[in-house]
Amino acid sequence: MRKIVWFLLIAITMLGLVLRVYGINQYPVHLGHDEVSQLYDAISIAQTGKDIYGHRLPFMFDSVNDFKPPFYTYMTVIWYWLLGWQEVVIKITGLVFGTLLIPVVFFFTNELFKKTQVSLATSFITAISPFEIFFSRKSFENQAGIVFIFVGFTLLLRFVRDTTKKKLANIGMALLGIGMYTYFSHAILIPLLLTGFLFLNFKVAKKIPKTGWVVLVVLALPLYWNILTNEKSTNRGGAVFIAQDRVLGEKLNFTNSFLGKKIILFDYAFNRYLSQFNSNYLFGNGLDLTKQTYPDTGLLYLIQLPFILIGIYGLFKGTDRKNHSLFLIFILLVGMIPSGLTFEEYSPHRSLIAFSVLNIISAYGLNVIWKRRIVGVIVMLCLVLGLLSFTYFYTINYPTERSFDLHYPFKQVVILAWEKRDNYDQIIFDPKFGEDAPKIGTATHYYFGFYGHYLPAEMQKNLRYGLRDREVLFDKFSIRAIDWRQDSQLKKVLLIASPWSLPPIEEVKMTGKVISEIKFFNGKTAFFVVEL
Amino acid sequence: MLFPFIGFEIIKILPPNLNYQDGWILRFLFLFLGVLFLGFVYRLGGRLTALVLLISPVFIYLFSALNLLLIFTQKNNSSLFSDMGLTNGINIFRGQGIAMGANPMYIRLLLNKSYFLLVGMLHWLTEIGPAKLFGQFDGEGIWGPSGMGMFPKVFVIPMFLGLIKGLKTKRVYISLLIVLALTFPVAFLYPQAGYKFLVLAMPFWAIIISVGFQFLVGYGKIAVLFLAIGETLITFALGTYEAKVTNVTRPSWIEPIITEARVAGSKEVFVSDDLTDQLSVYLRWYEAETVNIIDSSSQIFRCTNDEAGIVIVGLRDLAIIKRNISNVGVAKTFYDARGQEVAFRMKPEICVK
Repeated sequence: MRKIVWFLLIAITMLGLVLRVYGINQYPVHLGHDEVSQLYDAISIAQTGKDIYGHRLPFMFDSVNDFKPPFYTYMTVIWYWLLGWQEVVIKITGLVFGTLLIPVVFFFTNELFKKTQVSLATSFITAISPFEIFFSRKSFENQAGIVFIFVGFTLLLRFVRDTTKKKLANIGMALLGIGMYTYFSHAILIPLLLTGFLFLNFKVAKKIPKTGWVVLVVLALPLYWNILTNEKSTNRGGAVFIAQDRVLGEKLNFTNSFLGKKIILFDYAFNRYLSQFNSNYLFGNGLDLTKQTYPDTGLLYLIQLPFILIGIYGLFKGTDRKNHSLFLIFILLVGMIPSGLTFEEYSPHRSLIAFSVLNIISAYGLNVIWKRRIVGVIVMLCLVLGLLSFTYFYTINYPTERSFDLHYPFKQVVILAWEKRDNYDQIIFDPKFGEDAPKIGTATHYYFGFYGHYLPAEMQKNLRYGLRDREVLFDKFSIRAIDWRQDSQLKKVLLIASPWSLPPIEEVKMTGKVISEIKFFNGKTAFFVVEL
Repeated sequence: MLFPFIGFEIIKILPPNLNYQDGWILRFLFLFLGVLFLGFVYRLGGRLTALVLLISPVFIYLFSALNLLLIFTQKNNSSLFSDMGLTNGINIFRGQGIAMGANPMYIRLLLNKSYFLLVGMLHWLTEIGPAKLFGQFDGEGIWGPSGMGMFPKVFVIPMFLGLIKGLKTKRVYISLLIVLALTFPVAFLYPQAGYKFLVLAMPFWAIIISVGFQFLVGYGKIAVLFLAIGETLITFALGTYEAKVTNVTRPSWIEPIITEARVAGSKEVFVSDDLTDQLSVYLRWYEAETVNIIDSSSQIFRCTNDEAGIVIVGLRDLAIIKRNISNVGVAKTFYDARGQEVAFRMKPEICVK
């Protein structure tokens, strides 16, 4: 590659890095329950070799009964060893892989089309893409998997070009094998993609060395063994499968026929799959940064839309590298499947690879008309405007509108609880909270453990379930539902609860002393701190 | 080859209660279709076909689409520019920016009236996207089977081929332009779907599919047709299921109730208006126009067997009767498609005024 290309690629990667790292401790404004549970489990593994429930080096983390895949937590162990006990540790894996993706898509695209301009444009769009920035900053494991997939297939594509480079094929197969461990849906996605790749490059496929296959099988076997035999995996799969959808459940009850139910299920899943390609979702409100349908931010920039259409047209009409073009489309179509098969109407985090492919296609489309300078200027202006708009929504509206979903202000609650710990016999916290409607916060004991610098070894010993409604106990803390009639009789107890769990505050004041209020990001009262 | 399908699809999605405007649009639609059909069959000269194709949409667009848009926005008092949710959203997010010290010029640059156009455009593109065409056109089942798209699912393949491989042919690109022109008003109907506009474009989608069909190779054509017919047959086979899904929007269970009322003989018949929306339309359809409707102003009281008429009430009026009159019996209970109690014929001891 020419020096100027290297220079541009490094500059684009640096830009992507800045957009991902800048203000990482402020935005998002709070660690979500997935982040804090993985972080504290990682610390627990690093210090004791066990998760907080005492499972030694688990293949799957119980966490809050949502059974998390292992990759992200084990990666976080490394960062913890390097950086110690701090919030940013959980974000580093996401940041590293989110940034790595920028050069990785360059090489992947370059291997596909051998067009430097398209590859650079892909990198640039990836660097500033709203969904890439958002998920890189949100400690999300899927991106790591995508890096493995793209690097793996880049090496296999290189092997297609020159079948004497057998080492590359072996490494590619190994990376695909590792990629399966990063995210559960990748255990299905990667074999599907590999099958498509081999089908499209059938002649070369036969030349992949046996070592590569052996490595892939050796890596994949333990994973599949665990998935097929581990009850937790089945639970995890069942919990997120489309059959959990309420509307579908209702529809399935309308027929007793076994075949009818299967047809309805297929029909529903197919509809959901197709709706993942809705323009509203992709370009308008897919990131779901606000509580409104609109205004919001899409996963991709609106200016990409015409270029995606041109790109798809170009991929099919172009005569050179037809198989590679088809492979790209295949990744797009297969990449959307996980989102179409799960219970949420839209779950962009499950289909990130499909959006990454849309970035590549839009760059390809852009290349078709790039030579007209005016187009370039307009596109750049639109991208800058799009980036500004995303920044506005992400830094201003997202914290105000959605910080509740990140369990804001659990951190403040926990810090206050630890400060007051020595003054009371017990501290009771009811994680039922909400602005417009109540929900029960999860992973609360993880928040207490992490922000209280509570040693995981101690947590493993002391964590237990109580007899009260959803009660979890350790140290002086009881995390449970509050029954004011009973609890108001307690003495030397600090009670932290939201207005949803307490009677009107005047009544509370007759029995206890409200010593503080903890507020949501928008200033509304989230919790009262009551001394009994 | 696909013209029988086009006809089938149009008939399938015709709304049950065609009104004046609908009929008017359909007249234009069929006229336009006819011209196109002749154009294709007799291969009219390129210029002439192009002229017809270019002029016709202008008329369609001017006389039907814009007219419909006005009717829609007036009837439903809702459109893109009067959507309060969107207006409030923009104001709220601007306010949040000001509260956090953002530059007002910056806020205005990002959140301004052009946002309405952006939302409208995305809405339009979504409404003509694959999910509507091949997934679920109308979930309520008013415009077609609730689980079907505008076309059978498998037609996504010839549609794609038609758009990619046939785009440079006049048939496809002109059809596509017509689709875009006919459906464009949907942008201004946000957040509504605008089915009437989408239906207008259906024949032109079908032309694109037809062109794409030519590019299918080997057994591809047979396979696609087989699957399309299969899906349609399965949809019909799941009729009971469909009746349950569309229990409210297509109340097939109303027929036995009205039949019961119609064959009442010389006695006066009363039926509650809360059984379903637009009960009078169903009464007219089943030729039971002599039936009296019980509404909120009606008085229900006990009377003798001779005075009493045939009274069929819904859950609302049954509750009122039970509250006001003691020991009243139900002679017959009617059930909806989901097996829920929906109407009750009272014993002959009730009168309505």
